[in-house]
Amino acid sequence: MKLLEIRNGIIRLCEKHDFFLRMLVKFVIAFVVFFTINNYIGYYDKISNLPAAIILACICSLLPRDAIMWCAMVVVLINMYELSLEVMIVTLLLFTLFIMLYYRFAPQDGILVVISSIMLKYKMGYLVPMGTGLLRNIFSVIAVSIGTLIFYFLEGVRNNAADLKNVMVANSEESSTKITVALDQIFGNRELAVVMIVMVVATIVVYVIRSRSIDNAWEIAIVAGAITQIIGYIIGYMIIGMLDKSVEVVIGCIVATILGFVLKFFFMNLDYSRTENVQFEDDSYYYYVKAVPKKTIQQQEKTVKHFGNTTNIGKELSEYNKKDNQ
Amino acid sequence: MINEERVRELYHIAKYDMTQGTKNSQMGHFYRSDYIWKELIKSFFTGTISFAIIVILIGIYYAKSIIKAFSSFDLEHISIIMVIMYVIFMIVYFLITYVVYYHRYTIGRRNLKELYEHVKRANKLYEDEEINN
Repeated sequence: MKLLEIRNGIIRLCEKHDFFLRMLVKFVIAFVVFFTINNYIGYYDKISNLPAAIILACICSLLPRDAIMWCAMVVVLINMYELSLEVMIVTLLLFTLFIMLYYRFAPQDGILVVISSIMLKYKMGYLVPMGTGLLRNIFSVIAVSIGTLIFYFLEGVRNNAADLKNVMVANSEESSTKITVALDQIFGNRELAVVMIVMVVATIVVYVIRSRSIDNAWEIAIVAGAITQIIGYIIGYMIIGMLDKSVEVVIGCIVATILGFVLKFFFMNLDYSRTENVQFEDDSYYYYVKAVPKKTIQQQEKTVKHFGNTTNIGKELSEYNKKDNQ
Repeated sequence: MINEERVRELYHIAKYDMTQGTKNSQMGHFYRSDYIWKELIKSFFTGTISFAIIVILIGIYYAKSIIKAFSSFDLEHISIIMVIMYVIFMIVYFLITYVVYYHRYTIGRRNLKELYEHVKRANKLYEDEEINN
């Protein structure tokens, strides 16, 4: 009961300060994104510093949500240019592909691409299928895949940064080698393939189960998503010989399960003990309706006790004015 | 005095303008077929560019092996395969475009109808107020 009260309080607070909270959330996301880019692939010193990240985050907090994604793309491209023109061209081509093949149809998922990449950077990629499957629709799985692809591409570029930068005077053969090295981070990366497959499967599992009309669908979806990830990652890592990541996978999936239950508490807190199954008909159909009530608590009624002379309480100001006039 | 019913209608109109106004504005100006054709034409360009980018990226990645084996290539055969792949890619891309925008148009028109209902009711309330005054 106490938890429900706290939840209602948080929801009311969010509703009350909706405008500023949105700005704050955008600022925090944007700051984390730019700070991460600066620390991770910040090859261009002029924009890879804390003040630049804060300024960009401030600008993004005032603009629509998608501005974070566009600004992040520009910052990444500038950093890639500083590293090598060829890598910048490959990155630009990848971004263009993403915009034309996916962003055009689902612009609302643009931010999910950025969030997926950032979560993977901080080893929290296990939370992405859980959050996406519970809160978004099935097509968002494409955005998650693109985010994963971009992260592993950038990570590969970072790991090979020294090689890519060392060749200062590029002739045509060296340019080709640089592009091949950059592309190898996508085509030749077995870890990327494992992570992408597991993320896609886990997101679909979570989404499909939570949208079923069964009791405790969200709880089952969360647990199923976590188990899918654990099994998927362990089998995948076993195949590519990276079993040393098993502990990280288990811990990550436990945290993802906790996050799943937190999301469930806020977005789908149902009382299955009071489920009602009703049937009715009209001219064309029979309806079988299952209604599950939400867990709610009644607002505590406030009783005001008056002490001393209370005769004037509740009287309108006009009554005093009348008395004064008399 | 504030007319609560009118405020309610105006709220719905303002909410629509803020959230879906720009997104759904085209549904009021185009027939379904014109709207979908317009998007399909856009898809032709974006799809062609995307296919070209994919081919370029794969081509560069396998550049060394392609150059080595270039003399043994049957260019006519490869061109036909490329054209077939392009056609398949574009058919899939057009299908996705058609489904997405057909669905989007249906929802957009439904929302637009609801908006007109609110506008009508708000106008009626204004007229009633003018008559009463």
